[in-house]
Amino acid sequence: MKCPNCSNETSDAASVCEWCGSLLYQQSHAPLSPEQGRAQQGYPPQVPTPAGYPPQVPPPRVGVPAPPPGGYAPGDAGYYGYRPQPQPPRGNKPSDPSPWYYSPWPYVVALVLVLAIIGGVLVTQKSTKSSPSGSTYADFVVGGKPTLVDFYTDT
Amino acid sequence: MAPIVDGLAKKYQGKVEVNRVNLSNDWGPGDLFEVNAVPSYVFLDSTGNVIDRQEGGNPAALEQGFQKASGG
Repeated sequence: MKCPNCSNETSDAASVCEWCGSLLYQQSHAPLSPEQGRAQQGYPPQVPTPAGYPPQVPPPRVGVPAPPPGGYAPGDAGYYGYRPQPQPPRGNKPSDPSPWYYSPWPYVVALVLVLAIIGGVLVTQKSTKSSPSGSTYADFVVGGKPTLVDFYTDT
Repeated sequence: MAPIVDGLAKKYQGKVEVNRVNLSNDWGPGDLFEVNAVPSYVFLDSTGNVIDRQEGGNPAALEQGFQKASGG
């Protein structure tokens, strides 16, 4: 191998010139241009898209088979450990009944029950309301029949 | 109003009883029934629940109370 710096012959295995000490691998490890990289990875050369046209879809890699429908499975050539799994549809299934708390009826029934209880308590209190002397409305009923209580004064 | 009440009591005899309460000496029953004016009339059913109540002398309204209390 000839040193590009001093032009002296040096060993092919050497990374440094035995005569001048300059690095030799720079020639063989120079960074690749994008086109060189594409060619090295098996892609055909990229043709620039003319103005006004949609961008090109990358062509399939030369010598690399297309992935199977549904993605790779473990054991397939080209499987890297990830395979998209089918996802369940979002939201409730059409056959699922809506939860009970989405319906207004439980709340309506509960409200009616509460009002009925309150009303019953008030009526009971009214009919059993007693005066300081201990008498109640029922004490003014005469003969177990509907009664008119006539309140009057002497004046 | 007493003659009118007596007449209605006779008319609805056996269906509606009349209990006359004098509040001159003891306003306790008046407090119990929340009476604010005299005369006041409170119709009770056979168990003591209030059916109707009226304040002041209105013979037509009083007869309606008798009808309501008698179930007619």
